[in-house]
Amino acid sequence: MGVITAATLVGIVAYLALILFIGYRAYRKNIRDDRDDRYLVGRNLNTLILVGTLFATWFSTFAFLGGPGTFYLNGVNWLLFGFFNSLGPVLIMVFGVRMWALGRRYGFVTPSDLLANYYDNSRRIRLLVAVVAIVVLFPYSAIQLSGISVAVEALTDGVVNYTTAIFFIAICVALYSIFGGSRAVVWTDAIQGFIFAALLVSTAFLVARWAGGWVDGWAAATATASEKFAFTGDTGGSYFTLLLLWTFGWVLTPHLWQRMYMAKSAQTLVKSSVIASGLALWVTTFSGAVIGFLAIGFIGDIPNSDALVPTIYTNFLPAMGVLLVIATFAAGMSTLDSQVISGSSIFSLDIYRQYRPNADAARLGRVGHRFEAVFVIGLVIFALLPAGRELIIPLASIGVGMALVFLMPLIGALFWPRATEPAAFWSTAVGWAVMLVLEVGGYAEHLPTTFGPPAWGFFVAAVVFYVVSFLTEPVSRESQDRFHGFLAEAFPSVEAAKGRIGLALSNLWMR
Amino acid sequence: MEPDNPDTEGVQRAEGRAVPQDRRTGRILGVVPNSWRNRIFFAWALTNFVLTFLPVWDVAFNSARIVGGLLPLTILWSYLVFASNMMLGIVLYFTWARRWAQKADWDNRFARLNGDSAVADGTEG
Repeated sequence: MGVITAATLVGIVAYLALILFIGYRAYRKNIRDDRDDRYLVGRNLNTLILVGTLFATWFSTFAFLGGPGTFYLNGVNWLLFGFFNSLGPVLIMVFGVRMWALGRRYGFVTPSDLLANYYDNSRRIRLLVAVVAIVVLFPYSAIQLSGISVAVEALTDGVVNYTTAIFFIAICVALYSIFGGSRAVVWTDAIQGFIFAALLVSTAFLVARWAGGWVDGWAAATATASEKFAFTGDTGGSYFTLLLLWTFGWVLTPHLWQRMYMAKSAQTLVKSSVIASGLALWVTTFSGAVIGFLAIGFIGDIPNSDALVPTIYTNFLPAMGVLLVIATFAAGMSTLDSQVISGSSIFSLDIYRQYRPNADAARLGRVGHRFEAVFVIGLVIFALLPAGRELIIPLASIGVGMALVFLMPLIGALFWPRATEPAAFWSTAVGWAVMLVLEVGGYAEHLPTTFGPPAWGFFVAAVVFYVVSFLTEPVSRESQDRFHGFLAEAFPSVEAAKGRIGLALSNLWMR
Repeated sequence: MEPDNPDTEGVQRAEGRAVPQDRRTGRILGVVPNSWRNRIFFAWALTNFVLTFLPVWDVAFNSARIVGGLLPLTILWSYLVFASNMMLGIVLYFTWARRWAQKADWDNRFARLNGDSAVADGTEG
């Protein structure tokens, strides 16, 4: 074992010790058996922490490994990475603030809470949304484990092999998620997000230097593989599919959805939306593009594009290996822990409580912990399979793609009182079934366009949603009042808002 | 985006008057905003979407030629469109979202003071 490998191992241990220490501090601060505190950090996140957790939760190992690797492998076909990461956060101003207001008003914790509550407390919608949400989380979580482990194996020259890394990381994440709850997750997210962003930007600068400078680097890259710098004109369908699912993933994936509830205020959320859009575009996607595209000009063929960044460092600056592993840990763990906590809340509140309505908070907390343990074990098993090891980008897209089935029911709850309970249920069920059948059966290839399964599933879900809505009765007037009535009063036109702020101030003073 | 339910609805509700069903339907099919200002923002987002696809469909701006020593044309064009997405967020924030959110925060503070918020009193959602 060389000096660099030894230093890398020491760095990993030191980093994990820091994360576990933060988890312990969060554990000491947590309020026992308090649902909001455990899953939503007491709905009290300020702008800095919220931006940190949004950023770190959204950008996982795929952004650090798969992202640059896909630019390197597929060229401009991965430019959509920049589109959805610049527009996705803006959706927080459209959807997120309303979700926040409803969550705070009615105490929602999970996506099912909001949707089931609007559709006249529909039990079948609650269960269906909960099951889909857990299935959404699973593959996306599994690739965090595999992504980190691929990097660790590469950067330690195999001293820590893939399997050992999987077990080590799983134990660490399980410990601080189970004991530290969402507080540990968002605290570590803020730190991990900073580490990950700093390393990504630094890597982009270094790669530009190693490529021979900005101008020469691009010239070499375009000369090496000019076909990777222009579209062929026949990839519009897959481009559209990925763009659609990843843009809406910013608000629809369960762990991001719950971050809307966590904000301290509406102002916090809208500020975070703007900041996250800028950071995501320039820090993550542009840096990833620079790394991936410039590498075309000076890195030869590599067997696994996900190992691009580790390969670059191994060739040019092996001493940076330790920081690279830490950045990869940061990117992966900050997403994985959020997903574990999200899955736990969904299982205990949306599934278990439906069958044990009298379970108290302590009981629900214990069930949540057990779910977290089972979930992590499932992830370990999956990550050890060949599919979990090799398909970082496709697996992430499959997971996020399924979350698209929540879009139509959410539009009904926030914007369209004509929506009905049968429409929400059947659009979710049929849309999800179409996605699964096309994905698992591989039938999408036989359809007349290059749209992927998530896009087909979404189209079908939208048609079912509108058709069934016009054929059935809308939700009760009470539900419409609780949602649309409340939102109309909470978010009036800007001119009216100006006047109402003054009125609110004077009323507060009078109290 | 900014609420499409006309503000008069809030006033009607506050005064205890029934709000006509057709006024409660929000956006057209829940998607297209009712107000012209919001339609402009909506159109801006859709335009960015279409502009993104110009090189993808090989209609324009699809080339490996490096422009001004900066970036290959396809990448440069795409990042200009992506920057327009970010600008949309900034314009939305400064034209209405900031003040709109401020109002919502005051309402929320009142709800907590009055015990109307589930979060304030710990009731189930």
